[in-house]
Amino acid sequence: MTSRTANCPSCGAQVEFKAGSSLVTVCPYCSSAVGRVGGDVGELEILGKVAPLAAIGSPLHVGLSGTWKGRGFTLVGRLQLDYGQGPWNEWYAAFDDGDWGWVAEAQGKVYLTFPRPNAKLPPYADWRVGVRFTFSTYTLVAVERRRARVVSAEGDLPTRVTPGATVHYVDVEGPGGIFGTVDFGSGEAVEAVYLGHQLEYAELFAGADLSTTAPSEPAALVVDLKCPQCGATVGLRTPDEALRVSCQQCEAVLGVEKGSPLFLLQAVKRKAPKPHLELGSAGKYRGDKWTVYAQLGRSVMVDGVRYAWEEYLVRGERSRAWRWLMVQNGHWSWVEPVSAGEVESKGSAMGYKGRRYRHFQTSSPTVDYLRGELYWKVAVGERVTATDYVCPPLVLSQEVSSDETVWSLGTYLTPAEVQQIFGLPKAPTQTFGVAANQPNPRARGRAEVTRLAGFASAALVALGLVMSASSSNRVVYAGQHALGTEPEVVLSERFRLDERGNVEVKVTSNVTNSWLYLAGALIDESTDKVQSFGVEVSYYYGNTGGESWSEGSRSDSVFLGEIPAGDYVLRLEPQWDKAAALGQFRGTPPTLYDVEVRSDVFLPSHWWLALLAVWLLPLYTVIRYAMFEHTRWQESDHAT
Amino acid sequence: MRLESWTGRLYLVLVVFILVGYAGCQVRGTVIASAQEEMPLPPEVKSTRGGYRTHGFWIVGYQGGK
Repeated sequence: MTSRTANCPSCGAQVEFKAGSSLVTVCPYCSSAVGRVGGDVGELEILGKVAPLAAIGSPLHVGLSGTWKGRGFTLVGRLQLDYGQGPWNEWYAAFDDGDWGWVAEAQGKVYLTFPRPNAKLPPYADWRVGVRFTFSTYTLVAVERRRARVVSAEGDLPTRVTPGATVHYVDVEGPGGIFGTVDFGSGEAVEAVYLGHQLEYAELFAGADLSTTAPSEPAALVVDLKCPQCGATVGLRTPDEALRVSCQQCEAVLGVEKGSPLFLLQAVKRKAPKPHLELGSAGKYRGDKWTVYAQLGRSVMVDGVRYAWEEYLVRGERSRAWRWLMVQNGHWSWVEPVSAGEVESKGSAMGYKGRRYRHFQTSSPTVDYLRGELYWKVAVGERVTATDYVCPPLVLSQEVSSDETVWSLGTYLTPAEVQQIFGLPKAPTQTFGVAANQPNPRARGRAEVTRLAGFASAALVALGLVMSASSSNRVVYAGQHALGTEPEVVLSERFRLDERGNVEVKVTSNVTNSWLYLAGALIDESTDKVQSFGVEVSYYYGNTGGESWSEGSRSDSVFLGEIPAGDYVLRLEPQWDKAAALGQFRGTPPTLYDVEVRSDVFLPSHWWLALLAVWLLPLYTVIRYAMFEHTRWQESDHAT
Repeated sequence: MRLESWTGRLYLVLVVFILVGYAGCQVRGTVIASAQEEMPLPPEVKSTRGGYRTHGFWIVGYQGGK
């Protein structure tokens, strides 16, 4: 960095332009914004006087050094802007190699952006949040469109800024943590485009001890102010950041303005119920200690039914990030912001980091009550448009207002998990119903069982093929017998069954609109044990009302199980239909029948039974899974 | 495949039981829901006149047909 010094045109004190890229520096003595007119510091002009800096809790400060991709830089100045929700810092990072960029902070992350060649982008008036566009090789989405006021500054600045001026900007996000700002200055046309990345503090300031440079983050109340409504003492945990606080006594919603008394915004109409998580309580989760700062009640009316939930604002002690714990019907979610640029539209669904999120509900929730302190200007009755997309245990939510679109990701937590996080003596809530992002308790079982059923079916096919191939299916007796006018008992020749197994007795007869029944007995000649059975063949056909029909068959079988090896005789005692008529349909009585006895027969029916048994439990788990999903989606816009 | 749910583990046992049961039935020649009835034949039947042909088996009469 090349430092250049000059005298302040306003007070004569020495001012220093620390970087070659610095165009403005703030005189540390008289707070004048001093701009250099030419390339050198020979000609200076006063751009105005800046107001005192607002104390914003930040671990960064002018003079802090960092590295980005192996290039060193130093924070040589900062700009404070405010769009009405409290000021924020934009740090001017001057690189050792002469390059420069902006470092902004939000939600526990830092945003490093560099000036890019000005593209042909539309004027400020034509921009809307949510609009996607291509810039360079990136597809970006506009996430914020606002006017902000230049509140204050310190040190050097790389652009000419007039204190108190109103500037227009559009923040954009892209995939892979890309972040940028389209700067319109005080007019409508694009003046500059900055593009860079959303990063962790440690990625830029790995060598710096941020904890020592950060202001203390008290978990206890540090400032005592008076409630303008009831006179009770009101404490603040984040006096530098809080913009709204509720009176602990009367619960009026109060405005916070640094250096001023609290002012009444809303006399409370509805008191907040007893919180599930006490304000000020802390718990450990995801490697950080989180303190509860606020309780917010919201609800939405759908078809005359009010659906309510609560949100608890928590802040990480180490990360300094704000997060939410949301609870509805006793089900909890851990909610964190995500970059809009990472979210991609997939028809009616959304994609985020390789997962597909199905649209669940679009609603307009209203803030019903609040308790505690908040870092933005929230009001009871405030309404936004919110859309939820689910992929259990995650829910991707979008909140849209006229100026801003915010995406967040909720991760399902059970009451027991919240109890563990905050070390509560018992679970903070009892659940009822099914939450939008509640994991389906049948999902794992269903997946495992259906996969196993696939393997079992394949094994069963292989087993069936082996069994079918190894069955001898041997004919041990075959004979044809005539039917006379009277029943006649038929005895087969003796035949041998070589091994224990099943036996099929198959009967075929020339029945026509008639039947034949054989009372059979398989007699083991060596043990005198008898296996008795009956087998019927019947066949009917005709034409009724112009339609032909038939039923039955001229052949049928009976299977005898576990017949021991030995010598056997088959005894058959026939009965048959001598009238051979079914109403108007005339037939002919059977005149003969064939009998065939086979041993060691493959039974397909048993194979099918086994297959049915294999799939019964999978079917049951699939039905149970579907019932849970049905209950979940009954609460959505897609209820049937 | 690692089974993490009790349903999966229970089902694995069931599936093994079904496959082994099916193979066992096929090997033993078991017939499920067979209408056969096993009864001993009186020892004197063979020596009586007509033997099996005239012995009064218990299977008499048929109620079937149309």
